[in-house]
Amino acid sequence: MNSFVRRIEETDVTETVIGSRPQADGGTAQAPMLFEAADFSVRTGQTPILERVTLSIRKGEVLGIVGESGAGKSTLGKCIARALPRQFTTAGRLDVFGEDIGQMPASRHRALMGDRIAFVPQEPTSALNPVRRIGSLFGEHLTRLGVPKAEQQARMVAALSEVMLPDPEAVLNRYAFQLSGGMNQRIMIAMAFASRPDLVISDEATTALDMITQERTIVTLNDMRARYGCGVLFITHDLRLAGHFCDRVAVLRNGVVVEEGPAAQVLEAPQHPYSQGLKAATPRLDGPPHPLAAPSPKLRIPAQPAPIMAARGLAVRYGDPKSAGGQVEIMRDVDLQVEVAEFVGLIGRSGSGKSTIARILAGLQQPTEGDILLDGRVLGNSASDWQDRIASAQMVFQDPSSALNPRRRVWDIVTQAMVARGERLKSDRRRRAAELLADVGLDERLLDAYPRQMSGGQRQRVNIARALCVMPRLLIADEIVSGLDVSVQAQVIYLLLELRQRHDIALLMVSHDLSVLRQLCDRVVVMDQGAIVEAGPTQQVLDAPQHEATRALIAAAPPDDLSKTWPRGTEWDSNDKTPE
Amino acid sequence: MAELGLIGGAKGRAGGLRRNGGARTLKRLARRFATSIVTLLAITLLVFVVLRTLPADPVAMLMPGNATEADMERVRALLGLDRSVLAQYAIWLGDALKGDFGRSIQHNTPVRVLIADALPVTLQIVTLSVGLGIFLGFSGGLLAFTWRGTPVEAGIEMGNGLAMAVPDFLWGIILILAVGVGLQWLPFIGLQSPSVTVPDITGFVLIDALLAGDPSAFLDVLRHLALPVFAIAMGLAPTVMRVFRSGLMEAYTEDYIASARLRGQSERQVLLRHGLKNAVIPTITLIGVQASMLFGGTLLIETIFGLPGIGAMMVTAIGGHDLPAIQALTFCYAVLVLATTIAVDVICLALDPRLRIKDQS
Amino acid sequence: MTDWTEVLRDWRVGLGGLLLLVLMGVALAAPWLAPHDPNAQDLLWVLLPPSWAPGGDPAYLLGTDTLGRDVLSRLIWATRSAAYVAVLSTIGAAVLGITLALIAGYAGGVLDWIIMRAVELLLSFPAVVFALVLIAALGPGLENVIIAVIAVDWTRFARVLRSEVRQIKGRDYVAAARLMGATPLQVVLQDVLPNIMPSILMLVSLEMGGAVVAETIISFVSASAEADVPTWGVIIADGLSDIYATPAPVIAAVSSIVVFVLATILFSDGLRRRTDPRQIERRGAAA
Repeated sequence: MNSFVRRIEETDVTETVIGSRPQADGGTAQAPMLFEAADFSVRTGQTPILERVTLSIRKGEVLGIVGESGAGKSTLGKCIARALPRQFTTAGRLDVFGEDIGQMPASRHRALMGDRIAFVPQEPTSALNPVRRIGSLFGEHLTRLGVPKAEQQARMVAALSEVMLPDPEAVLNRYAFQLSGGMNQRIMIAMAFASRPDLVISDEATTALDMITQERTIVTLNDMRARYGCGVLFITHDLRLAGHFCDRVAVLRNGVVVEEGPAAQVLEAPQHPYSQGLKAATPRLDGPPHPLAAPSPKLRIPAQPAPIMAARGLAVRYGDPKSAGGQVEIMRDVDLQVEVAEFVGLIGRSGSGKSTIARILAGLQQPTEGDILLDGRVLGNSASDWQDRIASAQMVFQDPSSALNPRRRVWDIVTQAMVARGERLKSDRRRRAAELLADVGLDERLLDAYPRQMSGGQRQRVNIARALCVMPRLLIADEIVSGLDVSVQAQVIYLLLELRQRHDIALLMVSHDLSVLRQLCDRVVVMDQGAIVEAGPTQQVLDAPQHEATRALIAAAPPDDLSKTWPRGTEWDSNDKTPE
Repeated sequence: MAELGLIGGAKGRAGGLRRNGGARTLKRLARRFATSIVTLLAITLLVFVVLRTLPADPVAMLMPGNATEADMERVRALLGLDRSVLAQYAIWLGDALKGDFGRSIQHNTPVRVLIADALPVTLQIVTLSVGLGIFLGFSGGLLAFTWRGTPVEAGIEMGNGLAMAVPDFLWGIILILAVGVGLQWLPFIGLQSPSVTVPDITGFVLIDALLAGDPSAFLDVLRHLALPVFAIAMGLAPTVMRVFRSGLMEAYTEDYIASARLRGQSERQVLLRHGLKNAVIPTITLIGVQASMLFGGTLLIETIFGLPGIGAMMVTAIGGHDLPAIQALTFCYAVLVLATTIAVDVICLALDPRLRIKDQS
Repeated sequence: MTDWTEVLRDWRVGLGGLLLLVLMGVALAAPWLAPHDPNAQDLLWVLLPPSWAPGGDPAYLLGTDTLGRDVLSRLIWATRSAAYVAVLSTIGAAVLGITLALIAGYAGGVLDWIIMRAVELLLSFPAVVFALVLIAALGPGLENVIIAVIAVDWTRFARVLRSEVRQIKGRDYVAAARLMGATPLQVVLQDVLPNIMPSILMLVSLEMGGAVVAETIISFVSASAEADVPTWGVIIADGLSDIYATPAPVIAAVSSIVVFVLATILFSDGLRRRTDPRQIERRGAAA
């Protein structure tokens, strides 16, 4: 596995592999050309951002652009929008509807924007002006499109119904912050399609949404595309998503298109080494666990009398004067345990309570009811109990940029725990820090670095190193690989499994990504609305789910097999209501 | 669904939240009003206690040189100065609620009367100053923003920085030196020229002049007020300009501005329809914060320009240890500042829906 | 995290800092710098214009005031008073404000409530007025001015810093530090305080200017300094009545104040630009 990751990093980008053009999809070969990049390059100073990119989109075609961070995926979209920062220079042609974008006069370009070319942004809620009502924003757009005021209300209600928003009149009266991310994204889609555009550009449109919302958004997008027959430029880092949604896919790496062709071909049988590496590094939903995961050390450790950490009867309630009974319950009757050297995955929708459990087990939050047991002994509130707890279980936080104090150096950060124990000697700390960095595969030279000088993957590893300082038996990880590039994610997964092999560490991993859990965990626990609804060995739960929440989660994830239909139709959530 | 949870806060259903937060706004304002009353009482109590530690004996100042100890005792008892501090405060409060603020020791007239004469002057000055300051600040900010990246912006910024370094009473002096003494364009003493008289209808000279149909008197007063008003406005304008401009720049980094451009809105439309409203909100908040500073500025400005407002009155009262006057003027100032803060609060609530609706947890 | 060498290279920090150093230098060297005793009266030579104007005397570079005292010497000694007040009040207000901000922001709860109510109370009233009332109660003297300024200005520090502390408290690295076994005090000193340093420095430099202005106002109303302590406010107050005869004292004093405040604003502005992480990001993003 790691060899594939290394391949991604070392691959010499010398050739591009172009797949054949399909004749299917309603005769796309002869459909008018909407967008064409010919030998298009973007540089800033000496640094290339895009190098000699040649791509095209015909009417009715969906072109996916996939790649890791820094590949330059968003740059194409920005070029079409003429939103490049000043010091960027371009070369080559970028044609939209047959005209070169770089050459057209500003007024002509502005006339196209929002009308024949529409954008769907990554963060829908912040793309809507927070102090204006939805109706006001949409109306402004319709005015720009030339729709007379008298017709606007009807058009807006119709548009919102088209994207399956319940109670459109009420929504129009709301502000963006009153609505959820998924609803806001649908509003953005509605506004984008209001002009019946010819070309739609979607830049990571679903990245900020949770799995199930992502599915619904893709359904909506697909629906609208089919209805109005536009071309779509779909930018994403999610390979499987691209495979299902796009007709053709181009793989971008460091600004160069390394491979391009029909989606199924590029993603299932990639030809270029880099694309192959990407495919290999992407965990499969239906695949076997990671090679390092088996055989689990659990099997060779004699059965322990008690799990390292267990939660018994956890309940969390908040006082809320607005709800009935004056209290709101976000978790009830949760029992959970983690055995020695066991990797447990915790999955559920956002708001299901999985992060709360992690925080409670880590000691960052107190449950309203219930006990936490360490090695079979109930933990109380005394100082010595706290010391025992933090010596046995440590938390690895999700966002390494906020989890590391920007003003402290790496050696200082990873050995924080030593200070609390009285081991203050700098030389001791530095020695231990070097050990820890080696453990997580980081170079010793990073000891004196500041967090801002490191990459996301490196920061995450420092995060893990810090947690390892006290040699805990249990690591609690909250979404630590979401948002990482596929290759970096693979490295972190590898690291965690290696640590288990070496130190018999156990892991409670909270994640929304089923494929990661499949690779990593022995056991999976499914949460929904504050309760555990299903639990069991990973293979079993994912292959034969019993509870409908589990089934919904599995169905919401794009399957590995591109021939399967996904997303599966337009049933929408019965809970999808506009707020009062 | 989790999405619904997002709306009502992680704590649960949003049911019960009135549409667009009408009831909540009223509750919030009511609470603010109640807090203000408490603050008012607290401030007056605080000042009351502080003043009682004065080394000087006000009674001794009042009496003629040959007064006997017995006489002083009598006067002290009359003024209530022989009771405990809290008792004195209670008496003062009781009287104040009835509108009786005692008699000024220096002028031997009811304080209420003195304030009634002086307050309109100060109010006129402050109103004009705030208006001018806001106007200058917003225009400067808008100009600097429209010309951002050009030398014009750099020039405005530099001028702004310089202007900010000069506190308002120094502006007053500079203006006197430059415009009053140097160029001799505008008068700088008093409220009106000696030859001009205005009938006393509302107590507000400017309004009275208009009501009496006397435009020349109106202009005369305005000329006298020009320098002091400008001085106070210069205490406010640079900060307003800075905050407004940075508010615009902040707003322009936000996604919704980019989004509007992507929908084909012109730069002018983007500025007017998206940038301005969002930038105005933090600026208004700032003005509220500066409110107390503004009122403080009137003290010196009125003294320097010889204007008979409550600022000048306060200065003489403090100099003469005129306790009843100081006390009453403190009350006055506190009311003014609190009223301004509440007004600013209301405006902000009207402009920013997030304050009305979002859960404050 | 802050690149201090870059901070120093900013022209604002450089210029502002230089001006402040010069002013401090003048303040410290006053006894040797001033050509005359600032309180020495010479009633033969009252209201002299500056030496370059007709009727001036080179011995009195900027002329004399109504009591025949040398304006230049008074100005130099006034710089000393200003520096004295500026430094001490700033230190006092900063220490008090920072401590209360840390307590309020980190400990939260009742303490936060009490401290914030106190801040609101003081801010609901014009600072100048309150300071004057305090001075009236305490009596004249620069030390009392310092006390009055501290009593009013700590609120500025407390309010701004408290909200920053609260923000930092919510960050993951603070939670992580707790999990590493750090005591609240350790967390405050190691994780919170260094991260609010840029704001503290900015507020400190602004406060110096503010303290000087406050002192000027107070002494102008002639409620502060004793008769033989020259301050800029006193010079202005004395000079206003004879402004037609010789405006030099007033102009000189006003200019000195403006230079001082300008220096502090420049300095703090430069600091803010170089240490505000969002600003840095913005510049870096363009790269």
